[in-house]
Amino acid sequence: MDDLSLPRFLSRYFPTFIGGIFAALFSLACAIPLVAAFYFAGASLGEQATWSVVGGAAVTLVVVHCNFMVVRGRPQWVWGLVVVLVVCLLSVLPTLENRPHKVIYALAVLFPLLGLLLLNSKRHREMRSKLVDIRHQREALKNALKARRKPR
Amino acid sequence: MSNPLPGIGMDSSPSQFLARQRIESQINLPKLFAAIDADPGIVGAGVVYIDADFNVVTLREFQPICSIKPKRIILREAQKYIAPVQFAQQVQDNPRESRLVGEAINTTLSCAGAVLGWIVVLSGSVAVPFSAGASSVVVVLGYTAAAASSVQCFAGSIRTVAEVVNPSFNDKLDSEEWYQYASIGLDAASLLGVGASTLTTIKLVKVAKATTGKSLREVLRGLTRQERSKLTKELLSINDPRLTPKMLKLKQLAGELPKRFTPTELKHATVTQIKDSLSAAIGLLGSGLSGNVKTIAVGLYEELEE
Repeated sequence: MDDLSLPRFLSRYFPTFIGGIFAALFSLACAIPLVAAFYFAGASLGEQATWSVVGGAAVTLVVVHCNFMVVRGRPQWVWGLVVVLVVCLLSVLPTLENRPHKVIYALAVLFPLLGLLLLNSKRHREMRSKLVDIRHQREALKNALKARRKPR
Repeated sequence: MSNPLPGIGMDSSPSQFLARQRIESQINLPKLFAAIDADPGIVGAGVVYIDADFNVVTLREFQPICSIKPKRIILREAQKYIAPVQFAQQVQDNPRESRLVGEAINTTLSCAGAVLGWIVVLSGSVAVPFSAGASSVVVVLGYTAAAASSVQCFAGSIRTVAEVVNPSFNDKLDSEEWYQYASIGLDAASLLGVGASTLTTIKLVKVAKATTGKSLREVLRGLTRQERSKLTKELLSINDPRLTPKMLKLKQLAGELPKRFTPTELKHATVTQIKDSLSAAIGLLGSGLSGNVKTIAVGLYEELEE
């Protein structure tokens, strides 16, 4: 990276990056209680609570891993995030029938859209391509080190 | 026994006196106190009884054995002419508003943790080409911390949302044993990230254990002022081994080095603490005392402070 030191990289790309993560987390957090109450109305509250948190935590780990792979320079993993956000959005939409809490419903629609917007933004795309460059550098470095070690 | 409401003329009212008489004759006090003292978490907690006519009777003052912060068990008798179910509902819903704020604060703290974790991951990855692989350990630790604190952040926000949509959701969750253990585990994992962000990772916990002589669980629970300054000294000398104790002191006096890290810097300990005190502070259990037909609510109240 000729023009980008670490602090500059962070100050340029970190807000968009973390914004994407938070949008995903918050859309999950808003969507899951609504979805649980709508699709699993038959289950007891205890079951709903348990499975909401366990399932949500599992999806959170997926989100974390996708973001991690993006950071490691594999931009195709961003599709994982897109899938999570779209599923959140689509599953929340029909719960309107249940007359959910208005603010929460609005947020549950807003956050996935915001997330998708951020992922689609110029900054995020730029960051992803920079991270690919960095991965190539890293791999080149690793190969160079290996090549130096081999002759001995 | 001292008066619960000294100086405002309510201490010697006849109904107050009668209430005390009545309660002391109805409830087996030594047995009640013994039951309370059997729980190490609330040894010496104060006991306050509020009867149906709103007479407040302090059965026992708080003694600072289990904690310095006053803890009180509050026993509340249902008012006459109110159904037990309704009463339970009323008691449960009462402190809700403060709980929402509590959940929100908690969420903010864990999300701040997530920010730190992701900074570590990102800077670790970006810096690798320059430092030739030395920071890949940091990336792994950062990954753990980022994952743990992201899950915490999610859990915090789902709790906040549930507090709005359906408050009993959180009560159900709090009563689950796995959830309690999971949150301790997550706290521990995201604590790693705090260390990694100053590149002193596991050392932090290790040093904290060594310098304060506390168990791991206690270290995670939080440190006092003195312990923090001790830990700060230790961490600084690890960061720069050339510093002799004297130089360290001089530099600290000159203001070049911090005397003690702030709680925010040792932040996750605080998160755990707040979480603990929150779940205990407003955990209300509806229960009837045996041999007593009246409905009585039992609650543990603890004064909250950062």
